[in-house]
Amino acid sequence: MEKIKQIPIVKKLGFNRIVLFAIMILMYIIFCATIPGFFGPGRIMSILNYAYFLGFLALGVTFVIATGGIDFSIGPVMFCCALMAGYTFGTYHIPMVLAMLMSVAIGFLFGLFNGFMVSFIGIPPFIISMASMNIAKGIASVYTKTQSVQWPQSASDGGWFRNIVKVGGFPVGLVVFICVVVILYIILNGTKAGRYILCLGSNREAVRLSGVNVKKWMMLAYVICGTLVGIAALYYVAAYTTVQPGSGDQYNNEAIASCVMGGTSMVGGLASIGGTVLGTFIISLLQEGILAYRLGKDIQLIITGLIVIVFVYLDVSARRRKS
Amino acid sequence: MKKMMATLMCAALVGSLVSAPVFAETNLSGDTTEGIAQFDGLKANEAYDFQIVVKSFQSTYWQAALQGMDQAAEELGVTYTAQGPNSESDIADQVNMLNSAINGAPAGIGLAACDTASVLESLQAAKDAGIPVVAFDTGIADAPEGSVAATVVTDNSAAGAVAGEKIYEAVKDMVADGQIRIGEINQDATALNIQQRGTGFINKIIELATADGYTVAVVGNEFYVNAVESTASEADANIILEVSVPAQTTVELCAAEASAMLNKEDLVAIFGSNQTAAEGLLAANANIGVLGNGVIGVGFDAGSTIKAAVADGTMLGAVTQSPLMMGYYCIYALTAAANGQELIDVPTDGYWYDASNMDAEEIAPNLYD
Amino acid sequence: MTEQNIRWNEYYRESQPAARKRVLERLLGEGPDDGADAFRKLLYKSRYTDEKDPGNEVDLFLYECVNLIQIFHMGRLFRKRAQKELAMTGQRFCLEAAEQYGPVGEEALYRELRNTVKRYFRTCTSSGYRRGTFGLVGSSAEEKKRQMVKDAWEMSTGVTRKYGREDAFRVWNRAVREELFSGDPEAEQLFRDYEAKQADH
Repeated sequence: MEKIKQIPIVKKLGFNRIVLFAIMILMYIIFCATIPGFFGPGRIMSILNYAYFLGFLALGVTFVIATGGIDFSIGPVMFCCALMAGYTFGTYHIPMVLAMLMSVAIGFLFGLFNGFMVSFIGIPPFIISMASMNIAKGIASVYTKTQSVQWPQSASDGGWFRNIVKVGGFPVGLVVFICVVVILYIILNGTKAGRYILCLGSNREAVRLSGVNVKKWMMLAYVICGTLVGIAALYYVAAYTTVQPGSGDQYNNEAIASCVMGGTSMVGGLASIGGTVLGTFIISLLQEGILAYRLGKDIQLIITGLIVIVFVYLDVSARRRKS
Repeated sequence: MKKMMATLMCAALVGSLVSAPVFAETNLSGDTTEGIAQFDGLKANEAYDFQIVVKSFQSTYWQAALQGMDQAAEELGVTYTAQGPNSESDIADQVNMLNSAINGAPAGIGLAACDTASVLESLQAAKDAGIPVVAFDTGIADAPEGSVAATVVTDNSAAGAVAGEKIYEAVKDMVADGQIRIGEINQDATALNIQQRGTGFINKIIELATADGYTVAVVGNEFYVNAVESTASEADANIILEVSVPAQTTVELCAAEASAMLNKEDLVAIFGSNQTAAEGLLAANANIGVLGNGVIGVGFDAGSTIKAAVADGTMLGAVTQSPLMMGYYCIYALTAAANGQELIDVPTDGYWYDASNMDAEEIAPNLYD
Repeated sequence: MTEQNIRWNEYYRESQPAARKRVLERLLGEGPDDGADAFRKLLYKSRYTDEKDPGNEVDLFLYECVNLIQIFHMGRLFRKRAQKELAMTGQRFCLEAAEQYGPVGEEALYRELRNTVKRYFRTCTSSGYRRGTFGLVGSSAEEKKRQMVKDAWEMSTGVTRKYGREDAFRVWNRAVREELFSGDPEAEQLFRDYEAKQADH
């Protein structure tokens, strides 16, 4: 193990990330070997379709976890964005562009709300995100009169929005995803804002005393999260068309699992965009494999839950051991 | 659209030809001999393996369907694997399963869609991959041209209408005494079969009431309200028809909706449009005990809870489908489609049953547990 | 300690910037210059002045404590950038300037940096420090101490060794270590253990 850690490329990219990458490749190989027909573009597209919206959720929550907080409302807020924007499109016939912007805007507003509550009012993130979760579900339900909402098919009016996923066979979604990942990476690691966010996750009191406006930067992290959730909503409806009010919780777990798998510390102060992306792909790949084995949704929920438990345990025991 | 027309025409044609026991007056599409005849002498060209995606395994309805499938599979020498999401409202999960099934390149796919809009893209993908799809239990409106080889469903509009007829018969005399309320619980507003049943029920009531000179106001869930035409406002109508749809398709949530309705003073009758809704209705009634005792209840499908209620009079009766037949013909249709045969739709039977005819020969086998 | 140094104890004991300014001005006005007065003024300015917003109360040395930990964690892809940032930190700490003032200057720098580290360690006892598992679980005093030791190592030996600047930052490293050890005997042992562990990697 130690010898492997000394290899230059491993040192350069980070041991954790190499391990994750290796796990992902290994999983893919096992699936291809044991499931007939797994290898091929069809499955890859399925995996990507799932990875897009999950990835945006996970990237958003990465920023929040970096500040030492948590956001359990991402799933329901994603649904709220999709429901409200879709309902407005269907009932008031606004242009699709506006509907898409509305989805992002609603996510942004929820991020603003969460951030404001956590940094300015001082409510613990855990509590406020639980409240946000219910508020999101409630608002969506009321706005759509508890009906489910359907976004247009590709052939229908406004259906061009599906081009954000792919045009013909070309994976536009992947290009968008990579661009967003690069932008977020630069924000987190290359800008003052990102540095402040990480620092305040590391030791908030020290950063506050040093004169940095902690409240502003902490809120920014939540706003970034909210905006990404709004974008995730668009990719979700591109994949599933119909959204129903009152659900969305399961994606919380998967997004958080992707995040902690990738090396983002649950204590705050340490975050890895690349790691989150790898985590997302692993979870998407896992889900595709489980579907292909026809094992049923429950297995997937169990595994995702276990991943979170294992990583929480590792994190907790590492903190106890490190001295 | 073409398939629907074919179905209705066959039903009209054949309805009179086939002696439909007990329910000759109900106008349900009887066995379409043409639909079934297309399978005469069918032999599978290979030992096909099919993928079946059901709405969920939530209710015993689907177990009955699988029984029919088992029988057909044995007769034809083919195999199938059935999967379904945890509940009929887990639309995304079903889409995932469907896509995964398509990626597995099976000989054919049988689909009971939780939500018709969400599967359309996948159906196009299945068509492009050359995989025949048979829709059973619920039709798929606006399916891409040529993607669905055949639809094996009950004529749901007619089935809903039968329930409407029975209820109207029972309550029409009460209108003279003042405004009455009839309730309807639909488990969702997304699946075509439920939509058809719900609107079929409402439209029948409106039709019969109008013929008698009464007015009907439809209130409640937006989808159903918008799908039909009320003939008066809520304040003036003789009959208020209230439609409730819970947020998720569970018995508990249906029970909550039913409870709210059962507690209304002017409620005289209530209809639960599938097994989940009807069971929810009975669950809500457990503490109040108004059904069969001031409020007329009509259910749908079978299952032990509903059967017991019909047998002891809590429910006036119910309309059962033939999930066994649906499953059976689904496999037959898939085999034929895999063989390359051109298919027409296969409407399956629905039966009104109450305490008096539950044990009749034609009805009993469809009353699954 | 020379008599001069005893005179300055009050200055280095105080942690609030405003109070320190008063003491600084008083002591500068009062007594004889031991050669480092100008440097002390420079350090004060470097530490507590926000160039962009003069009215804002800041403590840029304290910020560097947290910043250094982040620099330590920067990926290998950012090596050049980390070097640059470390150099900027060194500039802010006035490490090079100290050399002009000789041993007195170094002593003044040392004490200023120790004051900084003391302020940092005090923040490590706050309830918000390193709350585990998304901030849901508070840390025990034991865990906080371990984290504090880890922080101390990362911000001193860790980052300077990683980028080969141990010599340039020797005063800083000494300040961190000695402030840590003076506060708590157990901390020294934890530090040594942690350092030994890191050496294995």
